[in-house]
Amino acid sequence: MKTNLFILFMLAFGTAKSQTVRIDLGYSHLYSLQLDRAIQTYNFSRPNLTEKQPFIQHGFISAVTVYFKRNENLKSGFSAKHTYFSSSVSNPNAAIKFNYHMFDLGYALNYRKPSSKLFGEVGVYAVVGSLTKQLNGEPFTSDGSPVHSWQFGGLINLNLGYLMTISERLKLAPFISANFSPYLSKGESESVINQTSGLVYESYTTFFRFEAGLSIHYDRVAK
Amino acid sequence: MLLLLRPKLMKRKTFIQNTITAYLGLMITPALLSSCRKEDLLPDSNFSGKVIIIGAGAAGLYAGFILKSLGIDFTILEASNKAGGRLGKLTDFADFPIDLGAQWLHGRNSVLGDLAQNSGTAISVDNSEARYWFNGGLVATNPLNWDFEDQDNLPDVSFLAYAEQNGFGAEYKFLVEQIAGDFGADSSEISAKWTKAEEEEWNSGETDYKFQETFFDLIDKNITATISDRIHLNTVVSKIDYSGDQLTVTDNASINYNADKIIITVPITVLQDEDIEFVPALPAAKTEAFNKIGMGAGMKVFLKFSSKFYDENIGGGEICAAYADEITGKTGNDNILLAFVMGKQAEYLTSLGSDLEITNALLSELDNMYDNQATASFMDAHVENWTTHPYIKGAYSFSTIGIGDARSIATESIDNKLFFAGEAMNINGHHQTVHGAAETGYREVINLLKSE
Repeated sequence: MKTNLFILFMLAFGTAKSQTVRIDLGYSHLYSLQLDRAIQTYNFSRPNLTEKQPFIQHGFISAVTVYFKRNENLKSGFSAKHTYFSSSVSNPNAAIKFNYHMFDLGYALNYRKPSSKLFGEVGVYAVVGSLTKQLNGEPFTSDGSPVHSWQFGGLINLNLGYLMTISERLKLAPFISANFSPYLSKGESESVINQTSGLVYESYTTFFRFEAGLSIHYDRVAK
Repeated sequence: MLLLLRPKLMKRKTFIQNTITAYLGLMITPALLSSCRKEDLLPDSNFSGKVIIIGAGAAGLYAGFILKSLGIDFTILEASNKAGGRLGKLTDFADFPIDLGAQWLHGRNSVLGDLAQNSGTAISVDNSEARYWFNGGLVATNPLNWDFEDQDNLPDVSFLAYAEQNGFGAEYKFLVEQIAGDFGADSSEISAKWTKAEEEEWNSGETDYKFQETFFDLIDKNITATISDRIHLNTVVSKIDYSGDQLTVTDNASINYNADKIIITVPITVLQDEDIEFVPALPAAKTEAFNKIGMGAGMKVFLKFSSKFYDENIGGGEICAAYADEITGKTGNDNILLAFVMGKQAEYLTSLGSDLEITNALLSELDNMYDNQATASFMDAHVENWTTHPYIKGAYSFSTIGIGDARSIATESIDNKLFFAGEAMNINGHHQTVHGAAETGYREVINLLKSE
């Protein structure tokens, strides 16, 4: 968490030529069939578990976007996001928690008429997913190494927000966001969750992410 | 907190309205989105028929375990007089329980690793050391400095042939045999290419674990006990008629059992030997696939001694390529050495005709290795010959030369009526293992429900 905040800080304020810096904090909801199927198969195949493993779906997003181009209606810039999802449940002798981090790096195009408080944004991102497992609070290891799955892909983001002016330079904006990934590699996700590979036959490679939260917009150059 | 940040340029009332709307949105969104998700793997399945499972090994028991959790009617027909298949337990031979069949949990990243964890079953890492019999002496380092799994582009030849191609001549034969024996095979029959291809699918972990009690107990206490009322022992299936919508299983006492679906989990040898008649006959491609899957001879001989003169593991013997100290992972004082005999070595010992001859052959080899200490301290022996077990007829499946996709073909269901499970039917690299068999048990329940 400290690392994430540090990265956000560096990205936000270390880009001298930026004109607007946007920081997002909010809720993220993941809909990934490949993870869902693995969790469903895991629950299906372990009827001895009284408490079923929930889907990996609820998460927390933090993001920073640095806009460095602007005309009257349009600004664009680089954006970095980190979303953390988890799924945890306790059964006798085994508290299982799956941690899923998604790192997005991309380019966003923001549109707003000067007369309007509403803005829209579209972004294209590269995505890296990292899935790990914890057993009773410790990383679950196999042969001494934590089990881990890396995934790679891309996503398209659509974002809508409503700007509320706090001061000349500072604005707040509640936002909603929809993300669609046409492709995210499966990696070892089935192995981490269900401890098999190739048994969950369908190889789903798309996912959706819906987000809602609050963004802080800071204009480095006063208008 | 948001109220404290109320924008200077926004009216108080408007700001409060916006803030409340945003809060409500944030609170409702997760619940709304979650409600779209279906927890069940097969929410649309409405199967309510009867399932017969043939075989009460790990695959059959696990399939029953799942079916019971789903409330589906099922019966398990088991030919032998106990459930467990190639798992078994010997309690009156030593002062600790002994696994007669599978005894190592190969990696804990598996469904049975989970079961052991959840049930609080005590397991420990098998870190035992080995010495190797080579050129008439025991050496600490394996002279066979060859790991076929690290090689690329392996040819479809036997382990033995590939070792010879790599310069390991006749003096290394029984060290190669030890590696093949781990795969339940003779070194002249197992394919280097296909074994490596399947090993690459392996994801359960390389660490071997032993049970303080037994592997048999893990399954017996946590699975068999929950479905024991559904298991019919001493029921040898002789015929499966799947010609109509209603399927009929007939046992060798001519008793018929009706079902809507059948899960067949018998060892591959039973299918190869056509011990079960199928009506209509199975497709030729199916039976050809069965016959491409290897399953060699295998036996476990437990030797009891008054003193512990032997190493924790001994590799490379001509009579038995792999011995292991049975006390590893156990709590006890008795000196029990396991002779883990596979392939042609098991065939040879079986051909000797009696447990006494088998024991004498092994003692002779150990005497040669340890200056006659084996015979001097020998107390008792127990021979568990899985090859002569009428409903098992071997050790476990291996990949023969030219096996190709035979396991996948063997696994395919027939007319959405017959489903095939068991360790030999695992196509995820976990064949030869108990957890691999269990995986096929639940996999075929999924396939069965999907077929509706």
